[in-house]
Amino acid sequence: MAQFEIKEGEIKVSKELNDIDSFVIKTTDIIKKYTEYVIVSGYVAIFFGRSRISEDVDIFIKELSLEKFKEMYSDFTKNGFEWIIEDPLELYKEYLKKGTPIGVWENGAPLLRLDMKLPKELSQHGLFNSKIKVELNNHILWMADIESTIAYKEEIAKSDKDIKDSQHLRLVFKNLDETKIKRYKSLFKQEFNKHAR
Amino acid sequence: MHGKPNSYREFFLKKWADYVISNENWSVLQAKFINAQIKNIKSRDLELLKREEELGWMALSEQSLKEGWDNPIDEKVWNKYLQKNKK
Repeated sequence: MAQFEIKEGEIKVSKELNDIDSFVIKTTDIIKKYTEYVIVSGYVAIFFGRSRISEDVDIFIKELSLEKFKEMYSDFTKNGFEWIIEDPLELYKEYLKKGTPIGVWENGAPLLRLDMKLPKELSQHGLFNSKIKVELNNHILWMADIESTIAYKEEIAKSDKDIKDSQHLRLVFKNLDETKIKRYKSLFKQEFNKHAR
Repeated sequence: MHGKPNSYREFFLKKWADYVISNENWSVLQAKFINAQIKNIKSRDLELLKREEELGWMALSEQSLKEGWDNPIDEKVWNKYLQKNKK
């Protein structure tokens, strides 16, 4: 084993699945039938070896119609998941469309939650263009690129946990593009300051 | 030791990252570690739920006792009973 490396936007990883990995595979297997997604933030670091747990997996999903959302909602409930609110119309109109993340978890196990939201900012839309394809055993996962994850954690999130996530990613990945990280940092900062005003 | 308390965690982070990049089967250890943490939290949550349920029942029984004592209808029934028994 050596450091991880993304080549042409792809990486193959073979690993023993932990409970969070299995949860992510189950949920993204449903989401991908209805829309595109990108996994962001903490789980990206955890997937690539960070030794901590997380209560939520953050994910951006691409805009989808109410009808498609209702189908996805039912698919989740049929497969043993429950939503933060049992009303797909309210979830879609009052939460998702207004930029609030919506949570879904396996029945009776809210400890591990998938929080999905629609991209609003330029940088969030951009994640779909720069996402990386991760081939995990026989599955495919789409994740935010490592540079944007590091930039977000170092420039915006900044908690002890986030800084350690970014340190971990810097240690286990090779050939990271520092110019890209700088560019992301400046974009995130601009967007953050726009909201802070 | 490694100086400030924080630096121990830094030391662990670096050690663990080294382990990840130098061992093919790093994820076996990671899975054990993560799954154990989840199991631990789940059992703590369960205890908390049980405790909350207990507290809920206690609050409910206190409320019903209070209602019983303060209920004016019950008071009337009691007075009637007393009068009846005096006769």
